Amino acid sequence: MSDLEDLQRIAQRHLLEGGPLPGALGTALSPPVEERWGIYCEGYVLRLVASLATTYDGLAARLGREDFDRLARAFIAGHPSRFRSLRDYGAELAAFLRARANDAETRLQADLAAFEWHLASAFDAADVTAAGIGELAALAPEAWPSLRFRAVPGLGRLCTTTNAVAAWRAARAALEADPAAGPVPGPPATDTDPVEWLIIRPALETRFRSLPDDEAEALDRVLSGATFAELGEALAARHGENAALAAATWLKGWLTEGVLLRV
Amino acid sequence: MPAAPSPPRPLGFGVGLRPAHYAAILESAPAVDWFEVITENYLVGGGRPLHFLDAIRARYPIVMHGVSLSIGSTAPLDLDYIEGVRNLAARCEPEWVSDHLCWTGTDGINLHDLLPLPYTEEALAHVAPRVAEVQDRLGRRLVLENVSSYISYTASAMTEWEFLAELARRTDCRLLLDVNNVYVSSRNHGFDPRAFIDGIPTERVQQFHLAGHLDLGSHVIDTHDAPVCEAVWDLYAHALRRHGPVSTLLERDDHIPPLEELVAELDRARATATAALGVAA
Ligand SMILES: [Fe+2]
Repeated sequence: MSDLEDLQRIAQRHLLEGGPLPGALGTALSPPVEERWGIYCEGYVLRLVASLATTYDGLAARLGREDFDRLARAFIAGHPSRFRSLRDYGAELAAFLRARANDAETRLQADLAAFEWHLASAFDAADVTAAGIGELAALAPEAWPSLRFRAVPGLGRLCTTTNAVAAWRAARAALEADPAAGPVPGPPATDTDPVEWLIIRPALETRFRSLPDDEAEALDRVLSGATFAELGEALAARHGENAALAAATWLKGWLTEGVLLRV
Repeated sequence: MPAAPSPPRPLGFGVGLRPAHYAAILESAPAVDWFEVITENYLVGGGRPLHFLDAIRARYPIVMHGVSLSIGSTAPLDLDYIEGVRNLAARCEPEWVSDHLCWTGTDGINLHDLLPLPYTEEALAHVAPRVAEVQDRLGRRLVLENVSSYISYTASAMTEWEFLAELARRTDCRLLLDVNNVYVSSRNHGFDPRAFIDGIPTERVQQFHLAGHLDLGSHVIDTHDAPVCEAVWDLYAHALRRHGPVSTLLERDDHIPPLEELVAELDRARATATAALGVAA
């Protein structure tokens, strides 16, 4: 191992894990080297905290600065960045919160983090022209049964079991009025029946809506590669002879919204 | 690699492009000559970042300024990243592409921090071929910036400016002289900032950076969250007298004020250049 390689490994390990100060650092000046190197150590954490506070601004507003800072530091300690851009950092925050959730409020925080990660992923996903009604209307009827689709880039699907989206709305409203708002009390956390959500960004603005359970199930089938015929068969069990109509109605809606790409 | 001996025509006076200013830039056509964009913020699929980059690029020259090249790391170059930079450059046709003389992590980890290198022959021999490879892959010269630093290494055997000048000589790269960083590091390490400025060969200087910092008395932290201080304005005037009219960029990354405030500060840079050079820059 070269001296430079050695030096970088030791310095990085110290930044991430602490321990004895890298011996290669030196200064004859005040402040002492411990304090100087500490600027890098603290800067590393502060930069990641700031990035999480940007991605999860609703959660940060709900928790307030101090509690969010504590949460972020606990997360950062176990999650070094492997990304060239900070916008990609922090995907695991929802799972991190979920693993520690023990009441409605902490379950809400996990849902809120998952929701905000999907919003962030949609925000700068690739621009595409989604499959539209017109293009499909031009197809011969024989072509319909074998139609297949995939999700537009940045499409988000998630299920919440708390009123996290209402809490997100309250936090956003508070942030619009005052970007430094927090803690934002918002609605008290409550557990709810599962609610399915769809997040897309058809042009520049991100949109989301809740999905009825049967539509969510149908959409997930299509997104995982089912043909239109296979979708009809799957729906037949529940919708009987109305299955084809239900499938066609949902498909029309998804094509109008810009949810799908032709495979 | 083009063999032009001197840097291109100066771009004038620019500010860093920040999302908070997108709308104001497009609505008010501010008196800014050019914008510098953080490369990583636009290495994305689409949406608002690329939409506004395209719209602003249609009206102003831009420069791409990266923070993740990690040219000084002993980890292998991130070829995907370099490919992404090349593709973004093909899309937005920047005047040039810059990053920092530093390392930002190793073994697959990004510390998102601009860590200094020891200024040794070993480090030079490591970095120079990497600069050459990046330049080959990008099909253009790289512009490298001096970082502000708080620590030095016992192994260092030359000054930072000697290292930069030698690196530029070996690789034919250009340099982004951050006047604030020179000042910050000079305070932290006790060297003469003018010796740094004077130690860089003029023909290598492609761009200046100006920014604010936090002065703690015993040392200085580079925060980019405040206006440029008097000592840095003085050093900027010295840099102009030494190197002539060089494209100048005002950086602000935190406590971002309304665009008009930055434009007013840019006017001070213009006035400083006019006074230092005796002509309108
Ligand atoms: Fe800079």
